[in-house]
Amino acid sequence: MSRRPWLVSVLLAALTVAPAAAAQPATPAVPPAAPTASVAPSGAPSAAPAAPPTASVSATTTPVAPPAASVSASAAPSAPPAPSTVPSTTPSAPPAVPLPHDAPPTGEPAEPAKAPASQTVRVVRDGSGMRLQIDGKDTLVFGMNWGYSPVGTNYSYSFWSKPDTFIERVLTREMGLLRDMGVNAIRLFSDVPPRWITWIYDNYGIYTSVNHLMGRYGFDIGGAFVANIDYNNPVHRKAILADLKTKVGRYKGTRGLLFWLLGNENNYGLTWTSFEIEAIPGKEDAARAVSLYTLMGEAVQEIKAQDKDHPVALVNGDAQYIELVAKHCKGLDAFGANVYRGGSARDLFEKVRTVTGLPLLFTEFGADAYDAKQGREDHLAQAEYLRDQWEEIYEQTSGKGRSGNAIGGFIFQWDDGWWKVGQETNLDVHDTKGTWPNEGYPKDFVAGDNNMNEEWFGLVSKERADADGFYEVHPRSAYYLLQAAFKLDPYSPDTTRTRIRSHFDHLRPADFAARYNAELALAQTAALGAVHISGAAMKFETFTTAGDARTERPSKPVFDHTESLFVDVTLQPTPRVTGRVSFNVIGNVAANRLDRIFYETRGKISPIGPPKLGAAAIERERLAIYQAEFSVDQPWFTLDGYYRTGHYHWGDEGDFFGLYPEANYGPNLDRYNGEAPFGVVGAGKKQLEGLKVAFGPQLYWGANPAVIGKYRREFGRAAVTAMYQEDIAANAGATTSSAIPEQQSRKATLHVGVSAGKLQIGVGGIMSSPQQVGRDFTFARSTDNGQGGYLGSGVEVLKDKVQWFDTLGGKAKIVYEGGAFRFYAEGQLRGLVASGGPDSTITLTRWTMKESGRGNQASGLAGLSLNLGNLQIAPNALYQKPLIGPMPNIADRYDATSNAYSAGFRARNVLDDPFAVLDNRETVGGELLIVYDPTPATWYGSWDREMREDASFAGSIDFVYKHQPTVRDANIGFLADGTPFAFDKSPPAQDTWDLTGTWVSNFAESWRLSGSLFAGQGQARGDNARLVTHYGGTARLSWNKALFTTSLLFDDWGPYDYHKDFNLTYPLQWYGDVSMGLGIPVLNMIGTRLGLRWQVRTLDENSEGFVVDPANAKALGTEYELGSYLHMRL
Amino acid sequence: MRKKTRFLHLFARVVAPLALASSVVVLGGGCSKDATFYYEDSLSDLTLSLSDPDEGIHPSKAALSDPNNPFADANVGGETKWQIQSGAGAIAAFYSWATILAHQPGGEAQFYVGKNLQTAFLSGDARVEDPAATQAQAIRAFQMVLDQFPDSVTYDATGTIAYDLATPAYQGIVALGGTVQGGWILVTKEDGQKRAVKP
Repeated sequence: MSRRPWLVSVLLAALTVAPAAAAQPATPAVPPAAPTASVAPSGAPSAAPAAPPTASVSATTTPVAPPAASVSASAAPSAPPAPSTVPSTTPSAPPAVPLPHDAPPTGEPAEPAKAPASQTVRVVRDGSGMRLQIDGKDTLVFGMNWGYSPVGTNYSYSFWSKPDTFIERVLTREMGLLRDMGVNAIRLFSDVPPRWITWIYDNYGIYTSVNHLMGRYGFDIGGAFVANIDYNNPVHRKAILADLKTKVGRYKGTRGLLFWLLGNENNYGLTWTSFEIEAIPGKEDAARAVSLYTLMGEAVQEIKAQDKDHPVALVNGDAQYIELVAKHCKGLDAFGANVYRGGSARDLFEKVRTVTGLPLLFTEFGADAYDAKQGREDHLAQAEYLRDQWEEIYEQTSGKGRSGNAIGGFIFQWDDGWWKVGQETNLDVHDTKGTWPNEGYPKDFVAGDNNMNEEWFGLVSKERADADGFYEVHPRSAYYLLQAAFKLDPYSPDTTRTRIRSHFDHLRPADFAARYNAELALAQTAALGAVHISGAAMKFETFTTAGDARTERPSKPVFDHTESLFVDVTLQPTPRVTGRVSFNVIGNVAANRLDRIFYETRGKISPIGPPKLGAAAIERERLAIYQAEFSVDQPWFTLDGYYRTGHYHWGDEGDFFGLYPEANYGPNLDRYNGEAPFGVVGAGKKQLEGLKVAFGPQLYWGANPAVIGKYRREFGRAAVTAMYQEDIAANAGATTSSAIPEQQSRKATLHVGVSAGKLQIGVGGIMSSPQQVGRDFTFARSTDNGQGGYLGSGVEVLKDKVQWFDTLGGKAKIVYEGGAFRFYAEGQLRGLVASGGPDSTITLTRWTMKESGRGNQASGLAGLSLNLGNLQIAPNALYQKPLIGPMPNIADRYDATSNAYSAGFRARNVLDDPFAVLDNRETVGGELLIVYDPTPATWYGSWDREMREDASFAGSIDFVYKHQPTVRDANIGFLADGTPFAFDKSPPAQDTWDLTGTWVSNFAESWRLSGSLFAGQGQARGDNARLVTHYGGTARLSWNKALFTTSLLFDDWGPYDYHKDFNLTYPLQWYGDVSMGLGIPVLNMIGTRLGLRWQVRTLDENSEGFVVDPANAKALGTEYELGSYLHMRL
Repeated sequence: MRKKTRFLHLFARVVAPLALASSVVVLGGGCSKDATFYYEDSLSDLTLSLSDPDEGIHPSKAALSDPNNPFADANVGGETKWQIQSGAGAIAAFYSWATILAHQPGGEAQFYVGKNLQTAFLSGDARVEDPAATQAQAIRAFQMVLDQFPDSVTYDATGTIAYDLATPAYQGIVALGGTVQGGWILVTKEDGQKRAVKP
């Protein structure tokens, strides 16, 4: 087609972008521009060179004159093209022909040795016409202008500068398709490394015509880029010819080289100052044209001087200045032209023959696949134009009784160029704007309108590229039609005009459309899959609540309802990039519920006081992102992002101190609308294997914004892991006491683990919170006799500062796994501020007692597990003691007599003090876990054992006793307005115990009963001294799709964190839920279910919302909730 | 095999000693030999020298790090603060309330910061190192009551009768020669009582 400004742009960009030219001192002026055109072979992929030329005479030395009595080259007809009989967009793999050498893909200063020798390509002529012969074999050029540029890129995309593996991957697919179509040659510009020409030929039998642009889009003259070449300027001419000489030296002898091509419609650029695609100019530039064609003539001679084995052709814009070509371009072997005349070139063959005496080679021709008139893709019209064009080429070949000078052509072009219109804008838009008019294409021509759609000339359409830059293509109807067309051997003795017409008449575009249409439909379906709604869930719930006079609830039932909608949108822009966002929209939100904090109450939550009935409506956050996640899988790394979706810990891969704990949270996360975990984690692959980096505003619930890096390397049976954590800022978004952000810190750990048979040994050290060094802290120490002391408190109070060694800690662990008998032991010593995180790992079995991960302690744990048949008996023991004990509360005192003041002191807390004694309080603990599991394949310790356990009966009993001889420091609570505060103190020293029994029973087909029973004593998390003795149980009974769950709790805390903070208990709590669904109920998942539920609880003076009856202070209050729900999920 | 040997060397020579050394160091840690005992402090010889331009003005916590402040590490009790207010002198009382204000921001603490600064300034006590600065800080403290805690009150000894603090804060500014900012005015109620209000 006319005007190829993109080629200009390719060169322009390459001059500044591509490194190859700079690496080639011999070719400083020629940039390694992006490839574009090329041709394919008619023979088999690895077709060996044909027999040596026989009686051919004229070849590259044939004068530009009317054909004389040239002797026919080969009597035997060349083999017909052998395309695959089954059209396929998945070409067969190439033969395992390696690259000629291991040099880099571009810019290599030296090309490989080129053995065996390249082919001899000649133009021969006789009385029947003119033919191209390759090593003596008549060959019609079934050519293709080939290039590779992903959607979103433009002329600056430099394919040949990509890694070899990528180039080979692309060529394998693309050349395979071309070969299967029957293409035997491609047209490329002179930036293609010669070794790839050989690789393409060796693997696919496709030849390459190398095209020097002869300054068409500017040239580097003396180190400066000149955009518009003056072909009359000796300096310009000399520079271009010098470069051509270098290039010829580079490519000559390259196996697979077919033609030398010169220029690219340079005749259209004699006066232009713009490379934009415009209408064809007039002929007013004849004077300048003389300069152009004399230069071309010199170029021909330059090539001939070095390479007599390959023919030379111009790439002229149609037949303009053909007389000047004949006059000044002596030695040309063929008249090459970009021709866009529609279905027929009309008199062009004859004109070329009579004026130049040369064969005609279409360097570009074709049709676009877009109907500008109808505004839609029209691949049938494209196929029809190309069919007609090729039919004419066949008829104009030697021996058919017409001009006899057609030697083939290069279809323009292989795939759509999405960047053509605008060139630097809308690169990812498949533009449908017509850019020039052409009456030769009457199907969509309308006078006054442009009907040529530059971005739709591809014989294949293409998809967007994946992250590697690789994209899929879909051959249009013309591909399949021409595949069938090329099966006709143009030089077979029986290929007459009649047979040609018959052959082509039977090629109806519509017959070849089905496959493209199907592929297009599939591609569109896949595109829809790139962004789609992957799930939706709806919750419709009603609640009726009431309470008696001893509660804050009205005795008259109050009805309310909640509607909540979840929509999951999944994005998959490429196969290795996926993302999901789940949105939640709320309608009405019930304000009467007994458990009044739930996800839909987000936005305005009052953790302490219940909302007052009848109060003004609370403004809520109606639309929220419920969850989001993404995953990117690249050759060198994976990247996973998460927002409220959870992640696993790194404890089993060297995180010895719990810096990156597990972050899969239960219903509490929704209750308090926690925005965690929130971050991204990258994991290296290949040489980066072992490297992980996590970054985010809240990598786990309660975390400060931080970056955590980990590198682990294995040495035989040993592994060394180093970690580093830097808190970037403080987390100001705490919402509940179970996720309190601690002070900003910096941590570094080192762990060495050794596996020696049944033994596993781990040793590690931690440095944590150096920011605390130098901070004051107070501590108390008992007097010798426990009396006197500071203000008579029995203790002496001292003031000290955090030292550097307080940031250090060490830990060691040994695990023995000897089959039925297993044990472990661990010990640690941590400085005052050497805190890590909780231990998320499971050692041997699912014990309750673990080390806290907090600094300021010396501790040891040991346990063993003994398997006796289906029974596992596992005792566990803990000893821990803080290096600095808790700070007792001591009231201050002012003595007016002496005007002296004695300061008072309070328990430490994690907000105000450098450290605090909390879960690292002095403890001597014992635990006995007994598990009965006759089907160990479904491990009973799994968190989802209620779903997975397949034993007819399995169960466990766990008893934990903790001797806690001292108090702890203060925890953090939340005021009614959400403000965190530190309690004044802790409950008194108190031993506690817990007994828990669990079971799962598949007692009959389709029936499952699971649950737990518990009893124990516990303390408030705040400062209330009351010891709570609680007991109760839960049960879950399922039968097919029916489910009944219930829990009955006595003297237990309420469901929220603040209940335990403030020691708020209920004498009785009874929950029940019965439902039917479309599927088997899944834990913690919204399914499609219809159900009823109820909740009853009694209140006393320790309960939230209790109203004392003056007449009977001990009378209990009662409140209840009856509800129904419909949950639906797609 | 070489890797294994290399690892064992690493383990034996670097990691294990490092862990052991860390443990030994930490064992000796907890408290340093430089720890000092707490005793009672005399409040008689205190000087008033503001360590920070904002000390005693919400939301500054400068009082907690002021070396002159005898209450910097203390948890001043609910009863003790009144004992100090009534018996320890204006300077000690200022530090007491500034400490309370830093821990628990509130209008009452802010008001008594201003009141004690005012008293110290007007007393001409030589222990007030910079009377002019003290005067200005007192005005700022009162103004902060009006700006940030306009509805705050204080109670009488019984804890049942509340007194608003905006009015004495207004009057304190005037008494110190300052100009009340923020549109406050002093009105006389029907019972003859003055009351600071913001129309």
